[in-house]
Amino acid sequence: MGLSVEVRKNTYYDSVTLMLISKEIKQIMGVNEALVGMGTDLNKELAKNLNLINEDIKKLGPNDFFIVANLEDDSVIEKVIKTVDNLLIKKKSEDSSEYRPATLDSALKYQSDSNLVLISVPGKYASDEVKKALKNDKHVMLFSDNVSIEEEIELKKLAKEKGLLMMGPDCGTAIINNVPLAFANVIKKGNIGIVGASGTGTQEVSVIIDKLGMGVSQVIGTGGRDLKSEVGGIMMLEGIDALLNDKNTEVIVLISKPPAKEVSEKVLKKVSKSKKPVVVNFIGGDLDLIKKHGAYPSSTLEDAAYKAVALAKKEEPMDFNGFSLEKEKIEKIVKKEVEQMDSEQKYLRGLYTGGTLADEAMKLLTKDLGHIYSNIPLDPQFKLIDVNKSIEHTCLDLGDDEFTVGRPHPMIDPSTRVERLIKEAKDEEVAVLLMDFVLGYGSHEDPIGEMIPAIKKAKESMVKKGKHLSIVASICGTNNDPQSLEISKRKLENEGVIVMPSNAQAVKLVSEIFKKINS
Amino acid sequence: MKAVQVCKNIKKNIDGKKIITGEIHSVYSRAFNIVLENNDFITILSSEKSITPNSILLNKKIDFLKLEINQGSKTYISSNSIVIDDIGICIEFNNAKEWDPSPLFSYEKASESEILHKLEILEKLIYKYGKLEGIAPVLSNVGTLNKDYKLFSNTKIEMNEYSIFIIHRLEKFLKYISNNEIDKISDATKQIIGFGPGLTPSMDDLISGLMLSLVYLIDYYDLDNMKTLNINKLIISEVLNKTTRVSEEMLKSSSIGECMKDYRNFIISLLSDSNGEELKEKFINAIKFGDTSGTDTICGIYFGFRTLLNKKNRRLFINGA
Repeated sequence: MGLSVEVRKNTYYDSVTLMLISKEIKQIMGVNEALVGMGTDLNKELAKNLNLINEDIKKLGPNDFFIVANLEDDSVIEKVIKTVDNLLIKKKSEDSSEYRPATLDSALKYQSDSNLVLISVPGKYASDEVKKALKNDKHVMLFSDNVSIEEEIELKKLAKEKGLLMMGPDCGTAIINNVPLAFANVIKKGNIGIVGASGTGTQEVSVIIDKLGMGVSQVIGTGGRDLKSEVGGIMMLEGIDALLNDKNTEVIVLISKPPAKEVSEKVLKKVSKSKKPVVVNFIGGDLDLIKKHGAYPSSTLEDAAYKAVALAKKEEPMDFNGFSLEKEKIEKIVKKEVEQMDSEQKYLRGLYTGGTLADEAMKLLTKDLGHIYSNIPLDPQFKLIDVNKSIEHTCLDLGDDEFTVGRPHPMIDPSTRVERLIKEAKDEEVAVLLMDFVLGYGSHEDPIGEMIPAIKKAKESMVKKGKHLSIVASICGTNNDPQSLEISKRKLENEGVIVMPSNAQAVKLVSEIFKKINS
Repeated sequence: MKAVQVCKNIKKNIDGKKIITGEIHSVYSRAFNIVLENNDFITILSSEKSITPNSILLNKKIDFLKLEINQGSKTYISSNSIVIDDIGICIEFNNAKEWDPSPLFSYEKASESEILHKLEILEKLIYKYGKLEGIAPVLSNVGTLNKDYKLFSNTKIEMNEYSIFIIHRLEKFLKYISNNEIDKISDATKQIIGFGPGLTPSMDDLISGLMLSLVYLIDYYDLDNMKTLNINKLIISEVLNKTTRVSEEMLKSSSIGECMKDYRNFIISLLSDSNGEELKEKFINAIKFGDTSGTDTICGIYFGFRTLLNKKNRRLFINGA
């Protein structure tokens, strides 16, 4: 099919609404190109440049609103129009919202009793805004990245001096007094406090705690560099103190990638003096050292959540490194998947939106699969030279800078992963795709719905070649998240995706599949 | 409904006439437009908005979408009220204060070097607070094509598809204005007017800002009024049927220096001896207009200032030159 045009005579919308519509339409599967605007001569010329011109467009006047799209087939047009109408309705309701202060000064005047400021401005300007907030005695969550390490140290020292939290920079997750901030899930209120230097790692632990029926008191983010030598874990230490002093927190969980040695010692020294039980997950870190300091080490994010829940229930924490499903059921799944594959299919492709989850997957898989290529490899010699081309076993963090230059993070805009999934399915040696889906505030409103057409297409293309593409996924989300865990899970399972209760279990299932393939 | 302010132009057009009919042209959450039988426009604004030329500002915060005002509904305008027929709404402006949209030239002038410093601050404000989804990315990229517009700061805004499409044409348009090549301005205007999404396409907002700044800078430098305003006349000579109706009205007003109160305050804060904080405050108020409109207009103001603050260009606009 060629062009499809929708014209609304003498209809006017503001520019952001029109651009939002344009962007959303372009992301619909089956839309090759699209343009939305008023029918002025210049806008028609832009349409011509984009090969989106036909007689209908040529006839438009400057007061006519138009949507033109180049579609793969007729059936897509209904979805396009529905998307446009939904966005227009949504925009109308948003327009009715109340006053939104445009600067920190006006926000402080408007709501002077707030005690936390979330800052998300270009990194270059973030430091000034943070100082302003701290000087006004407000805690800070700094979402911005590209803040220099010198500035980070200065800001954290200032915060410490004033007895305030400065979560960040590049802090994507926090839940303070049950309010999810930035990328966070709707987690039950409970007695487990978390300090996390890793966004999706922290989300994964909090989500599993919720799935196990418990909840969190506070989730404090530190930013990914906090446990590096230069910063010295200033906010991790402040976060621990805050939780030690919080009467609603009975168990503490610490999450980070392996810290610098001296920082690790400093943190564990504080932990050793804690009267509250502390579970530590330094993803891939030294478990014995943690144990030596009286804390509970955990081998996976899931294990950390299980131990924290046991401790919160005053039970003895046990290692959890297996499956929630019975062994027979796992064997049945593995057998069914592998018997549909052919002998050429032997590689894994991990397509992650969460960096920590990708990292955890590689650490757990290396033992069984050997080396894994990645844009964030465990061993530098397996760094992909061209991140757009996978080699053998490959696991990607699609949220890393190399994939997000000039485009939103894949948790917000799934289009990068949609394209990559289709591309990977063209490789006849691929046996398994491993994916994470992160729900909650901040994430795309339907990350799974956006991925389904690509999943269908990928599976179908393998079937046509007499092969079977096994897709294993985990969903980091709860039933109270806006996207709903249960609905999301059902959608994936309807398309033949195997959904496991955690990233660790999804990874273990993949290991079992490859053991079978190689046997 | 009662109005607190009414634009002087409306009063002037209505006073003495019996009843003028019109119809609802477009409706938004905080504003709606009426087009009169003589093709004039009147905009009705909710109380939190800044008054604009040809508008009436109400005393209450109102969501017009919730009032279900329909496009095309008949309206009747008398010297003291507007009645929307099918939903029975009456807007009274008998006791409303008259607001004059004309340019204001009574302020303490800042020195040229102070203005240049403020333009540098402005570049950073646009980057930090501006809505960059419209045409604003051209601000930091025109300078790569024409060094007269190279930014003072290191600010770099990533280009979007609209900016990529228009930047070379805009650069040409600015070049003809800088060189006062009047025979080429009309044609160059045709190449950019009406471009971009929205009720007032982004490029029209930019042109509007540029024309406003020219009007104010004529006074600041005591330039040849005729020569400078001739540019604005040439620009708006190309407006008819090239852009949306609402944009046409805005461009006509801007060509004679009439604009909404927040834009006027912003331009004056650039020209007067205000400090950086004051400039920021006026900037923030100005960018609240529309979605990207405020930012796009300010980009135009910036280009206008850069054009005439350049001595080489200014020589062409001096009396007797």
